[in-house]
Amino acid sequence: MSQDQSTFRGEIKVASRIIDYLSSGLYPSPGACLKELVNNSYDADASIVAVYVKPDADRIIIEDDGIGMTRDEFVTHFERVSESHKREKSELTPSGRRPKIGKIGIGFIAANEICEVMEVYSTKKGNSELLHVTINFEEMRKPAEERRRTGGDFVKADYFGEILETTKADHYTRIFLTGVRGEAQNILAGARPQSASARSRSLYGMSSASVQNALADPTLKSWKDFDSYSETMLEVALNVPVRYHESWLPNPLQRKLRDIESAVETLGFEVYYDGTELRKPVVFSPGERGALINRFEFKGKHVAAQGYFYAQHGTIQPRDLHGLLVRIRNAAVGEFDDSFWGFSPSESSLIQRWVSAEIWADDRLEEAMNIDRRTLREAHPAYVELRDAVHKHLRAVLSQARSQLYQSANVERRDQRASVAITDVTNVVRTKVTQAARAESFEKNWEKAVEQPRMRRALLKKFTVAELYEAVIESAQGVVTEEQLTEILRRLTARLGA
Amino acid sequence: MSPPGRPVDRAMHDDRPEKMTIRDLWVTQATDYLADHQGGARAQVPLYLTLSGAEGRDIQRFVDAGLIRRTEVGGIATEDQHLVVAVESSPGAELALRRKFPGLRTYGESFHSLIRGTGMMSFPEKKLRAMLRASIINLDLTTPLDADLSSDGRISFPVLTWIRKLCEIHSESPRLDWCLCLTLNGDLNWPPEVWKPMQEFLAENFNREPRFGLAAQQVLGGSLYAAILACGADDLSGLSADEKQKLLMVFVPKKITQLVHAEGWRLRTPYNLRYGGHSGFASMVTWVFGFTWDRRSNSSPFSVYRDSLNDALTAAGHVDARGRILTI
Repeated sequence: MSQDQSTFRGEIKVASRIIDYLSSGLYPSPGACLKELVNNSYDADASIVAVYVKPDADRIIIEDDGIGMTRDEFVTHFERVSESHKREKSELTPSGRRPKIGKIGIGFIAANEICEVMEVYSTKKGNSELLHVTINFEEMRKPAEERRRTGGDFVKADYFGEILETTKADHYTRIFLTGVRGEAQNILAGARPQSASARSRSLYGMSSASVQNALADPTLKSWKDFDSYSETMLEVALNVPVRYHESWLPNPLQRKLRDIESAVETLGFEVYYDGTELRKPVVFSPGERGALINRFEFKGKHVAAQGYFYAQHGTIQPRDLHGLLVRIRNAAVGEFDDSFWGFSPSESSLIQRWVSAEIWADDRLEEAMNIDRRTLREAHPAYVELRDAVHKHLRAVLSQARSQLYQSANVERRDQRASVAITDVTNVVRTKVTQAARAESFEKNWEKAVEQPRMRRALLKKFTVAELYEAVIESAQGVVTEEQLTEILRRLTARLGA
Repeated sequence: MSPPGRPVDRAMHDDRPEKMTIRDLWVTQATDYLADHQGGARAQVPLYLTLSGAEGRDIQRFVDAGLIRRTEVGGIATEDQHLVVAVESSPGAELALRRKFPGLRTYGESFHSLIRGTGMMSFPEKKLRAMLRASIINLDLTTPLDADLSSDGRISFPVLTWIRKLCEIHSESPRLDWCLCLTLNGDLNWPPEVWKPMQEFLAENFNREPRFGLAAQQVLGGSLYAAILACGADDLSGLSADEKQKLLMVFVPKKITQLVHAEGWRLRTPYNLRYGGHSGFASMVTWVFGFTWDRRSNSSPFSVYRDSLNDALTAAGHVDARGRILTI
């Protein structure tokens, strides 16, 4: 690296074990890259991050009010991506209030998967130096042989830096992503067609209250019903440590999770996406159907975790919320996993789709996390232990859902149908029996009869035609003459055939 | 990085009456354009391209006038995002604009760079070129009309060359009429090598086009008009601020007419106004020009030229400190 007073340049070296991930595409979507940059702002103790994407996503700006960085910090950070500079001094952010999400410092170069050039402007409070660095990611697309350095490292990209001036009161980091690549640009801008059934709904420009309403819309089957711009926005919101929506659960259930809401609010982290405040896109709206919350607390030998299981009567929609989401240090590990980490699909398969769970695991699970921050190593003891605990708990939740939501709902439904049947029979008798006294007499007997549980069950029974004839004959025998019975059966046959 | 402090931002930040009047002219122009030109090829190009500065006051006026709709959180509504484009070379100012108007289309480079300099062989391509076909282009500059002197003694004015290039871009099929809002600092810092030919250029036109000459005399005042006609002074940099403003009011439309009439553009000048230059405010001149393609240009380009010239000073005037437009 050459240095003079105001300009500097250098190479970003990436450990060879990481370059393979990067070259093959570490992040599955542009949103996954963006959330890395947002989480970097969180680690810099930012209270507010603003992301500007629209209208075209050809020049994306990410701005935070965090502590910023100096030239030396930048150089140290990029000298060799893979060493844990981020947690060298502390596991917590400088304010001491937040556990740092980033570990090996790879998040900053996540942008290389979506753009050609990243410009960084950053300054620290009390320092009049404004760091301006331009990172050119084109270098990484050269063949591996050309990029290889001694010691197995790879040059990730060249950067050029300069020191500008600003006021000492300023503290921020501003990132400009330019030359956003074709497909990524289409996805980020919302120009890519979604599923065939997509109605091209967009969350662009909405207040967080309107976003909440859009997410609670019972016709919303999947986030793919939105345009890709909105889907990306939700993807970022799900991952980063932002607050929940004001009414993300029915009120009585939400009160049960007040401590979880408060824990997130205490982090004091707000993200705005083209002006829309991001909240966790977890909104459950069971409507008139029943729902329940079951808290999860686990302290094992290798890991501890806590969270909640939510279940409702009926499949959870949008389907993106169905399954298990694990957070480590307040950042999500991937998305909701609808297999609940490999839970038996045949076990209460219907009711499984009624359940959504969010779990905060302690740092020991981080050791099981792969570099992509989306997946976990399934053989890791912490993973195994937590998976078993989750499965055990899920079984209990499924059982609770079956008894509280499914069976009780069934009884309720049966009662409703029986009441309808009673009214119908009463009405038929009133209409067809012309003598009021006889009708009244029937009603007295009828009301008494339907109080019997056996009779109420019988009301919902379906009869075959043979059973009907049998019932009529048995009821008439001994009451009417054989001749009258024959006439009754003739009329019944004609009535049924009419 | 921080936007405040640049002259352009200080100027745009100004909410003094003169500037508010000028912004109202721009909005009026846009409203008229929208009423007159709906759909067709025009729907494919922006309504308004502006060098708005970090504050985006002119864009705010467009929003206030209902020309551009906003979202619940104050961004530019999706349906109107194609209408407005801001060109801003300072990243700090660009960010300030996106903060104020999320969803605003911004270009993070200077207009000079955007239009690929002053060479007539170099033009922007594709998307940028389409964007520069905007119906209304607002070059609200705080700089004076600089002149470039080539080694062979030729004089060119970069800003006016941009306008010529914009005409060229609007000439492409389908040719689009367009409107230019131009604002320049009223000061003139030309070397003697520019002053002398400039006087000769104007004097020749005063003589050749008596109607233009008469109108120029009214704008410039008798003594300045006579001095230019005589071409006696090597250097007019000692003129008062007002006189320099007036000289610009005459020179700029004349020069633009000369540059673009051969391409078939008829120039209309509905506003030719000077303002500022008092109470510590910079001396400024502002114009609204309408460029329409004139069919006569193939057979009698001189008629187009003459009509443009005769129209150049009919709306000359000044905006006083209370924001009133006083025509001459």
